[in-house]
Amino acid sequence: MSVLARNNVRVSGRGTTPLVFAHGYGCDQNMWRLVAPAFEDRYKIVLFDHVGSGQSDLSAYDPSKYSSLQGYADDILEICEELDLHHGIFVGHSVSAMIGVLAAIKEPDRFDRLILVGPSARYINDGDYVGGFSEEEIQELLAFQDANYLGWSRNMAPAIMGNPDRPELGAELTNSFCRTDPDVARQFAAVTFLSDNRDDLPRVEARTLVLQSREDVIAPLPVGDYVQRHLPDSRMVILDAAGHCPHLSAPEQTIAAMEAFLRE
Amino acid sequence: MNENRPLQDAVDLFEDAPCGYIVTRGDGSFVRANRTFLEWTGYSLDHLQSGKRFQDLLTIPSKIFYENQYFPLLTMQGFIREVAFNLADSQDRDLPVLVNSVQKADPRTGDTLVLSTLFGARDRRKYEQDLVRARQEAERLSTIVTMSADAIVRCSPDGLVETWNPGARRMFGVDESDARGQRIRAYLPSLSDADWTRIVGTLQSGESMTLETEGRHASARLLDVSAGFAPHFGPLGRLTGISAIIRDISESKAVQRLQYEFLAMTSHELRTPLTSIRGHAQLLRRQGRYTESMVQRIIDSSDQLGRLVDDLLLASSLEAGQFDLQPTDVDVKAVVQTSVDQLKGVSGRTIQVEMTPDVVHVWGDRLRLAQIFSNLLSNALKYSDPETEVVVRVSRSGTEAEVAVIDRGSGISADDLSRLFDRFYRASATADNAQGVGLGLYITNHLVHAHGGSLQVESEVDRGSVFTVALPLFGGQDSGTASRFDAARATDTLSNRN
Repeated sequence: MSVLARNNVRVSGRGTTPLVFAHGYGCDQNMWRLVAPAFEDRYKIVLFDHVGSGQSDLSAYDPSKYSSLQGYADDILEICEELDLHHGIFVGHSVSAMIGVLAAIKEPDRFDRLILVGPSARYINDGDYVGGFSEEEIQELLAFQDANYLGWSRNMAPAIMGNPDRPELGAELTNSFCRTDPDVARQFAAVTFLSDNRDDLPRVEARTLVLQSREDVIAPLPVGDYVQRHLPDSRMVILDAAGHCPHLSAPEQTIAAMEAFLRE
Repeated sequence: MNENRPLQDAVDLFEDAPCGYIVTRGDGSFVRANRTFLEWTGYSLDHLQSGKRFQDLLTIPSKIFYENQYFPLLTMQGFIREVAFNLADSQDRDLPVLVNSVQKADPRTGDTLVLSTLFGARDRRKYEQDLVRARQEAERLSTIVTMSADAIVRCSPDGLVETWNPGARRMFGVDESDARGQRIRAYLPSLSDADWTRIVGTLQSGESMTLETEGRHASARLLDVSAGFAPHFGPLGRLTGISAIIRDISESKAVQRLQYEFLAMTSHELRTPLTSIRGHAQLLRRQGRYTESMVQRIIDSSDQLGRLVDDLLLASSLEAGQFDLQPTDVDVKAVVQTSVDQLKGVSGRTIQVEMTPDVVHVWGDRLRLAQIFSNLLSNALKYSDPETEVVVRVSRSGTEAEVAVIDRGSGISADDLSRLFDRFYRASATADNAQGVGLGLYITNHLVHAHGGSLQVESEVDRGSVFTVALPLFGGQDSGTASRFDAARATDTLSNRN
């Protein structure tokens, strides 16, 4: 199984500078559908699904490898290796912001710039640190996952996953995007919401943009602010958008902020 | 609304349907909510319309789910179905619901509206939690069944295999796909029709039962098994299935048999010299006078008895791991020669000795080494024709001393070879016509290993056997003087082995 098939990598665009988009927990590369096309003219667009999400190869899921974000970061570096990407731009949403941070630390040559959409270095409050959630709330979230998985395992069974050639089948599915294997989703949620990457931030060399929603229950302003302050070469743009997915709810603003940063 | 007017129009259905209807904008803020929703949540419509958003009514885990999954999916595909949320009502109580949503453009303004139906899911959520727990429990049990060395098999009431764990595959050498649909009795060939009728009868009465029988491996090899059967009952108390747990007890059966044989053998071996001692003593008394030859017989028999008891004690201390060597620098050639001389005297047989001219020293316990060589030599004499010759050859091979004992006797079958060094094991072909309790080779092998050496055997039936003891050489290649390094290493080896 090649890396490109494993992660369902899609490459497009007419430029040469790589622009790699990484989706967050709970979804897949479709999340970038309102943003990525705006960069097709000038960049080499790389979209992919994390293993266990979307149309990735489920059989490549190794619970021990993906028990930390580093496993996901290594996948991104393998994709870069396979496509021979250097001095690119990484765009990561939510948990993929920190996955990008880990990848950039390990192989600084891959990405000159990072764009982090709704990043959090740690979701759980810790002493003076405000992460937005108490430990109990996160445990509650992990337990709550099952309420939806029962439906999801029925509706999104891997057996009916991924039929790009038969769109009519997709229309019959309850939820045709962001298919996630229930067992993978359960572990990915735990890895995402229990991770702590605060110590990694100062080690990033790449120039970084933090894109922060005005109002985001998952990554509130103090959380984005913390990330920006601890990244050595960074700036923050606060979007006039509500919710954790400004690239879906306010794509034009998101694109404008990204373009301004890339012009610098 | 007029309280006295009968329910009849669509508005009534919208307001009082047994589910919540809400209309929100793209950002989640409320446009409308039906009466059922307001009753469930305890909020007024005014309160909701004053800038409240649907996600504000969710508990924290549901809010996270809303942001990560519900909103992206709804935005991308325009609808979402059967999403589980927990709402927090005005009293902050959890209200589990299932939500279906669809996006529509407002026909007047063109703005995005989200139409959602909410179904109360309190009972369903509880059953789902039960289901999750049951699934987790099933996964745990399935791990146990998969890992078990026992065969765990589920059959229909008439004994046809339905499930077959990896333990069963190993035990019977048959894959689950081949076993499924076969009669379980095909793998338990000794169960008669009557046995089976008795088993099913017991199970039908609600009891389980265990019995010992034989299992048949695909290679036709039979094994001793213990088979436990337990019933499964369906509605109306009908037997719907049979669980069988089958354990391979061949080994413990074999040990049992060996122990029984050992007891019988040992008693016999102890009784023979005792009888001789008692007989000769009685004879002495009857004669009323001292006879040198009779006293000698009594002494020989006592020695035989003594050796037997020593072997038994040594075997038990080897078994318990409590035994000490007293190692010194030992000249192997000298020890072998002494053993040969002793046995020649006793047996009157010829033992041909072939010794290398080189010095052969090892670091070991002189008495135990003598015991090793004597045991091998006396076995060679015991299991070979008196007319044939026994050869002992001492040589050096690399860093090892080798002592080979060669006979032209009855040999050992391949089957017996594999178990030759087991405690109480006596080769089947010779067990009946030779003395011994089956401890000699067991002890010899243990002693060789305690010296950091190895014991090899090559044999061919009716051609003879070669037992080769290899021991680490002690001292330099050319002289018998020990280097300090070698001495330390040899001591280490011995203490590790003990």
